[in-house]
Amino acid sequence: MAAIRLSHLTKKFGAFTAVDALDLLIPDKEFVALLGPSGCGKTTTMNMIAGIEQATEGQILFDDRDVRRLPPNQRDVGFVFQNYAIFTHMTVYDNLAFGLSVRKLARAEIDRRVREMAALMRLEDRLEWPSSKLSVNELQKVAIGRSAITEPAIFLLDEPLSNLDAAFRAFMRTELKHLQHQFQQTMVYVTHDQIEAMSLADRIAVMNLGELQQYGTPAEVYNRPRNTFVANFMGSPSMNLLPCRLIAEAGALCFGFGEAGRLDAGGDGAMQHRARAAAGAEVIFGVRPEDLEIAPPDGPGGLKGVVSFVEPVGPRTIVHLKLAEQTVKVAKEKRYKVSIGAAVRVTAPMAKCHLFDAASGEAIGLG
Amino acid sequence: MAKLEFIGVSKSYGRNVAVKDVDLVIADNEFFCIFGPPSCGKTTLLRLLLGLVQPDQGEIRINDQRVNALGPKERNLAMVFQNLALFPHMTAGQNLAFPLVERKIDKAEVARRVAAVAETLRIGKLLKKLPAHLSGGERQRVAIGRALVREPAAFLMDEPIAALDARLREEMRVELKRLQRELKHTLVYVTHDQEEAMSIADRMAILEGGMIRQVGTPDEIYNHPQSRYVAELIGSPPMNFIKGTFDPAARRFRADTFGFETTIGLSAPGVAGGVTSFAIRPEDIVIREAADQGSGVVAEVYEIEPLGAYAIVDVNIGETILKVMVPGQPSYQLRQPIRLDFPAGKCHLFDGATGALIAGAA
Amino acid sequence: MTAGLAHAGGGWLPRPLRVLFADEVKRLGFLMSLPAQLLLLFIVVFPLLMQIYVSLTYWGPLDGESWIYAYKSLNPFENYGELFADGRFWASIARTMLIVVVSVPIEFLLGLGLATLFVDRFPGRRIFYSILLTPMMIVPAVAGYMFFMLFQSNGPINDLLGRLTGLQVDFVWLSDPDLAIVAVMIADIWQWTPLMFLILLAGMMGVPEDQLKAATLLGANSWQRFWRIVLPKMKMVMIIAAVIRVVECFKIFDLLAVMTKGGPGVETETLSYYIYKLTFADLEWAYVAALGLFVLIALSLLAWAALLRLQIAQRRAETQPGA
Repeated sequence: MAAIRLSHLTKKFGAFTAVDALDLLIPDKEFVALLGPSGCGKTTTMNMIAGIEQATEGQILFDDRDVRRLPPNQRDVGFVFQNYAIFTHMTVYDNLAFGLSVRKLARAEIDRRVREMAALMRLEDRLEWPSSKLSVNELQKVAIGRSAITEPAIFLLDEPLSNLDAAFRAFMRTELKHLQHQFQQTMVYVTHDQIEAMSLADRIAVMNLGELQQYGTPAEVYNRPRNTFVANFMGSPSMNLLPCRLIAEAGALCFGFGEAGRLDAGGDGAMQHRARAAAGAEVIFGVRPEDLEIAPPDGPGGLKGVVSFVEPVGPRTIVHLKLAEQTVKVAKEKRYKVSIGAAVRVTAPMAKCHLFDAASGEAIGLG
Repeated sequence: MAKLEFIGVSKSYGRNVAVKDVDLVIADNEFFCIFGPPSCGKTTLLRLLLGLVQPDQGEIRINDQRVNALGPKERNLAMVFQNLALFPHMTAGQNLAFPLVERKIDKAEVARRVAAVAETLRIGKLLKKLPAHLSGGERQRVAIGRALVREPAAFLMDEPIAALDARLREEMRVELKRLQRELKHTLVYVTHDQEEAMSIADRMAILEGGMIRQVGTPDEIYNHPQSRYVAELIGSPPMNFIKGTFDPAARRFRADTFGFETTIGLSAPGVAGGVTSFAIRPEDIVIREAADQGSGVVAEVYEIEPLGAYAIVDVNIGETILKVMVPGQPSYQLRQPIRLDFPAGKCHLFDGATGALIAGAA
Repeated sequence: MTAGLAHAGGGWLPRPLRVLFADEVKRLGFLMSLPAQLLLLFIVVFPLLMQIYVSLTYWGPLDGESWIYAYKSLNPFENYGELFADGRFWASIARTMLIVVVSVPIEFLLGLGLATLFVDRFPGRRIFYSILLTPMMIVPAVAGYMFFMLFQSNGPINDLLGRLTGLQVDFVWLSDPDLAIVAVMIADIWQWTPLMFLILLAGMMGVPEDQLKAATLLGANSWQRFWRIVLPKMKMVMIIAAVIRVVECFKIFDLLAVMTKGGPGVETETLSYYIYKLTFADLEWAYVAALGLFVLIALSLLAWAALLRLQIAQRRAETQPGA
């Protein structure tokens, strides 16, 4: 069991900086996701924690122990590879036993623990199989079991679910989370899939271009994104980010969206406060698709729009609206009926809206 | 401008049956998705339509005309492949013009048509660039443009956007839908992504092992699956299944591993009972306080997966894990007891052995 | 061309061919490869038949008649009988075996060691690599000549040994009945270790890196990684490398021809060299034919037995659960 502290961690490949002065504290027994698009430095960070990659600068501490100079086989770290890296010339049993047998444990002890792990991973009837004959789903279970069996203080997973079919992925997501609660290990999980990160992690570190964008609980990252990158990356469909004009009229503030109309910031105190902080700046108005409301076209307030496209995606219906210059997505329940071309009005509860600086992309007035 | 038809079409490669007894009508002007797991025969259907392979049996018709004997060129269908197959040494504009130049159409006409297509696809500014300098989405548009410029009778696309990243895929599918609507072409679209198929199709066909399992609108497929296979394949998070037995006389279903019993409204009498699966979608299950009286069963929260706009609550009930989708960001505790309701109109009952639908949702 | 056959139904063909011709693709494949097959038949089968024929006679170049008339001295099995009583023949086989059994394992171990060094990147790797591979590129006769010079009694090797030990060293390497074969083996090892190294290095590079990383992260040290991951994964490559060298070594000739000419006496005469002498010094062509056939059959039987073992092992692997 160990907390991981990365301070000023940097990795350069020649002139390219893959990870740039990363500071991150991963508390003991927490499940932390490193999330970002490909090339954001998340895998490099994980490889440095494991010791497969040498840091150019900075420190890696496990609890208070500096491990930067420690070879990977002495770091006591479990690692599940994206492609599982199962030893194809061995049986499932030998794969599971590997970590214990290189530690020269007694045969009986190894046997007991392998069988225990096999039962936990539901692999009992596969133990004697050559691993080359396993399905992808089973390979994944062997990969996790093989690492977990040595009871490492830290468990690292590199996109372990990305090769699985959708149904098994949904199942493994639950199982993985449950396993973490059982193993009580510090887990670091690399993924580019925000759904996986949201559903699994205690905390999410959102990365882009080698830099940390935001670090917080899923709720924090989702509800209070620090910048437009995080706002756009989290959630599916992504947040509507609409450039707009701040208009002050008779003491009240509102957001102007050209021909489509205006949204009044008045009702909500916090938003008033934020809008004032932004006075004079170009701003981007952000609102999540599920927070928008669709209303008949002839009421007061809101923005005028026309339904341009309706996507039924199973449990939900995504309605695309064309405003004067912009398009917004609204998420509604399944079987929501609206016809393409219909004129509607869309309203946004200010308490659930966000404001970003158009130039820097930073959130405005976030505490 | 084409109606496409398969009539009793079968095709095998050696001992492998790729497509079996397929009857399918794709209406003019329709956005039609063919959906199924890998190697279910979806690509073979496209190749049969294109004329790249000959059916062993049956007939393929385009606009009510038998085309079995026609070669790919005479069928005038355009294909967009997954790997795009743009010519890397030609600019986007030259790529667009290629099918026309090859047909020896005069220069002024080529220029006019390329310009028109570039306008529709909004790639006017890219025409001078080489494919290597285009982004994934732009390359995709050029590939579609190259198919479009020929003015084909119908479009066939084989996982055209599968290689793009998630965000771009979402954008491209809206774009494709808009294009299809504006151009009024028949479009046959093969995909293994159920969400993509659902969001984009006017109608879709679900394949399994070369056979068509169900054809219908996304709404019909999602809400009225005719077999357990279709129900499992479509929807994410996947549909919940509860094993149990069904007594057709009393119209009662009883779960195997926990105390749950319900009356099933049968649309047709005379079904066999026995081992069955009771099924319900995650978003249709209702969670109430455990202390509430009345209907439903008591279960325990196993895990919570918050996804922002909604959360998936995994509940444990008699060693069965059910997934429940709840809007917003609920705050349940692990192991907290809750009461689950399965609204009668939203449940399905499938035969345990064959997977056939016994009773469907209202 | 194929259409005619298809319509005729190939009824006039023997059954296996009829089956073959029922399938369009297979038929085309057969017809396209037919010329090559015929050529191969001519190249392989004809000389073999000729050899069998001659081996049953006393025919030789001094008879002054074409081999076609060899039947005039027909003497079935006499040559074969002689073979079993030929001590020089069996001694040459034993000597060949000795070279194989000593040289190949040494080459193998040296090659494996070098491959282990070269699988990781280090500065100057390419240059060392090129230098290491040069012996293999040298024409064997030239290599033989080099070692002929090196092993002279007043040559560099004795000189070096003398300087190292401080004693007067004057081994007469190439004329000493015991040392001559050692000298030949040293030359063989020098020349062919690089090939072993090359094949084994290629095999070692093919060991999936992620599996090695996984082993490291599971706590394995480099020794454990080598024994538990690298070696088992290289089994096939090792077998191939060993087989190539065993077969090559069995045919060792050039080095001997330059270094010792089979001498002193017949002390370094290998199978190939003995056959050479029989052919060109003794002109015993019919006897050589019989001897060649015997070796061919013996080796084929050995190869067949080895293959059978492999097949059995494979079948056993396949009948494991999950097949």
